[in-house]
Amino acid sequence: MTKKSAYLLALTLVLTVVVAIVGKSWMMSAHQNDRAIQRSKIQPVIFVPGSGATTQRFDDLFTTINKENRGQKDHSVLKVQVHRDKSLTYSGHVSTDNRQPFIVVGFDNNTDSYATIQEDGAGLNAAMNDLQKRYHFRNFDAIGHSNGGLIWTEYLENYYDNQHFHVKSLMTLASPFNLSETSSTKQTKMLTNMIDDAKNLPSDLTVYSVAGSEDYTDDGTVSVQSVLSGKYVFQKHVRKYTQTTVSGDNANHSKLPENPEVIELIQEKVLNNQPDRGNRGQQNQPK
Amino acid sequence: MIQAVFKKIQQFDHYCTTFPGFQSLQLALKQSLPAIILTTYFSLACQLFLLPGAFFRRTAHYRPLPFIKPPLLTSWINLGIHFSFAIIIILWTRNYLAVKTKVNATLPIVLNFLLMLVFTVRNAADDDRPVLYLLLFLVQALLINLSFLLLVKISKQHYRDFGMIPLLWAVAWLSLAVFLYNRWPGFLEQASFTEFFSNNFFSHPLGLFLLAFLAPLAFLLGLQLPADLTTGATDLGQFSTNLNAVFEGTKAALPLPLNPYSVMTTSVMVGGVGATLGLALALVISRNQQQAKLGRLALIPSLFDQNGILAVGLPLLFRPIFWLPMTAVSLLTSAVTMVAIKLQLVRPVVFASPNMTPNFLLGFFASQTPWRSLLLSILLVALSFFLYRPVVRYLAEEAQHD
Repeated sequence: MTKKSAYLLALTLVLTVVVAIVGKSWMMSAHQNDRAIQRSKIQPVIFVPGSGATTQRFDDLFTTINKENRGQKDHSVLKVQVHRDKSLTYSGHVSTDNRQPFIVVGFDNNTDSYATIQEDGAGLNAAMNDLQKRYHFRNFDAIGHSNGGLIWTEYLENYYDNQHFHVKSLMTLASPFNLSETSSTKQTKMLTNMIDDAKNLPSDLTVYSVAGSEDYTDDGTVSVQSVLSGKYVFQKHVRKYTQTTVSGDNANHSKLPENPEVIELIQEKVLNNQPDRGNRGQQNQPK
Repeated sequence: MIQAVFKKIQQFDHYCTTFPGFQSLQLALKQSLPAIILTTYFSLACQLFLLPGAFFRRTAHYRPLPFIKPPLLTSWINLGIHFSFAIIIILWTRNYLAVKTKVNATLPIVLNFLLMLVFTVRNAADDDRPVLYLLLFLVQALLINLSFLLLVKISKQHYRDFGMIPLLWAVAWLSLAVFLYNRWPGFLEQASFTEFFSNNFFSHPLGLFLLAFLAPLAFLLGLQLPADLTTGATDLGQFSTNLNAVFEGTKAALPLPLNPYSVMTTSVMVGGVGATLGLALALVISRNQQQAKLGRLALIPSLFDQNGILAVGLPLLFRPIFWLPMTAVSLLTSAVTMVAIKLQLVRPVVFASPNMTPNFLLGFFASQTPWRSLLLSILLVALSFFLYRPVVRYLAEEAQHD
């Protein structure tokens, strides 16, 4: 072995040691948060309201759920307001009495447009990162009403990181995936983009899409066809996709979260759903 | 028996070197080494220090210099890769046609370069690393060269470089290539096949052995490996499943301990496909000066799992002689890793680590038994070193005889 080779081997060894020390230190500090997450037992349900709605949107729903859960601890409610500069204001509290606290993320900018949905997707990402730093959770369920379902989809396609979070289910209530387009053949730009980015969706996600129907064509605001367009986004990219249409009392757009069938769906599919432990075989569930 | 098989492969390797096409390709690969070295070291510097997700930027938390523009750096890296492929193609064209014909072969060289340029421009809009299969470009170049030789034969004494007929021939090829590039099959542009590799079959020893067997073969044939076996392994379903289990309970039994991330990345991919860090070390200490020089050039990139310099410098590509040792090293190192995991001597890697983490250190960073995993990595590199050493000696003797 020549001197040059010996020097280079020594240099490589030194470089390896430097990389090992620097990298390991970073991994240890990055995983401090992970250790807190391991100790934490909460698995919140995170709600996002639609355009024009505030963080009070789901108050009646929460009251109803807590009333029906007699004998069990109430779900605590935390509300997060995302401002235009991505700063956050918190109100309410998270109690660990109940493993599934409700968190509502609302946005100052909540106009009805694709640009707003994209911006709020980024805002949701900021809120999620901050929430994890404060409350150290990893697993969560997501519910979005109207454009809130679109904001969740935007977040899951563009910001969600399975190394930091695990979303178990997404429930969209009257979310217009094709915006105000009523035709089943014409696709808006937003729908096209969501279909193109659908490969980024978590493959182990379970999606429930609920449409409201007053007259079998729309819920007074959003057309059923537009809600059904969600299938083009989710089918073949997530573990399970289920579409449900509810009608009758409280089936119009703004009252859908208080619809008794919707409440039953939330209880059954989100709140009472057992956590997945060891997903062997579930990767191959038919989609 | 292994010696007998190796002897057969040696004979086959010798037989291949009698073909002008094979000889000229091996020469072209070696001649393209400077371009590959420049591209490799530039790419390494960007991915370690300059790009937003660069290893030292992420771990040492420093701010980038203001005039460094990441999109420009990514474009230059992609351009360097395309340009290196173009150099291989045109050098092969030149070397091959110099042996096969006495006529001036400038036109096919220019044509092959133009086609690579068209393909580069086509990929220019992509932000991600391009998906390039050297084998396909070589097949394209071979067809062009063979048709050129036929053209020369038909023209007899009347062939004129850049004459009317040759120009029409070149335009026909250009048109055909542009037509085909616009109808490039989607799966050839796909860098990863996450759904496929997330299948439970690849969480079973049989599936992993199959990958360990096929990966070196694909590499030797100039085919780009799916990102799921290299940098994109953390997108696989098995990774999420195990990570979720760890977050449920620190010492939880992992549902899928054997998977491409925990086995392939920490064994077969150490130093690049075929566990070539051991090969680089064997070259560095070789008595043959040329080999030692190549080893020195390739060592630091090999530490960061970039074995492009070895691929063209030895060259590894398209050499039958390397098929047996690379396959043996891959199968043996993956087997040792799987046994160590099954016997719970080490916990498999479950966490993600920063970009450009050397696979040699992945167990140390991302396993719940860091020190034992580091020992296992050292053992695997030692195994690959001792398996590659005879091949390095054989090549040194062959070079001496030449």
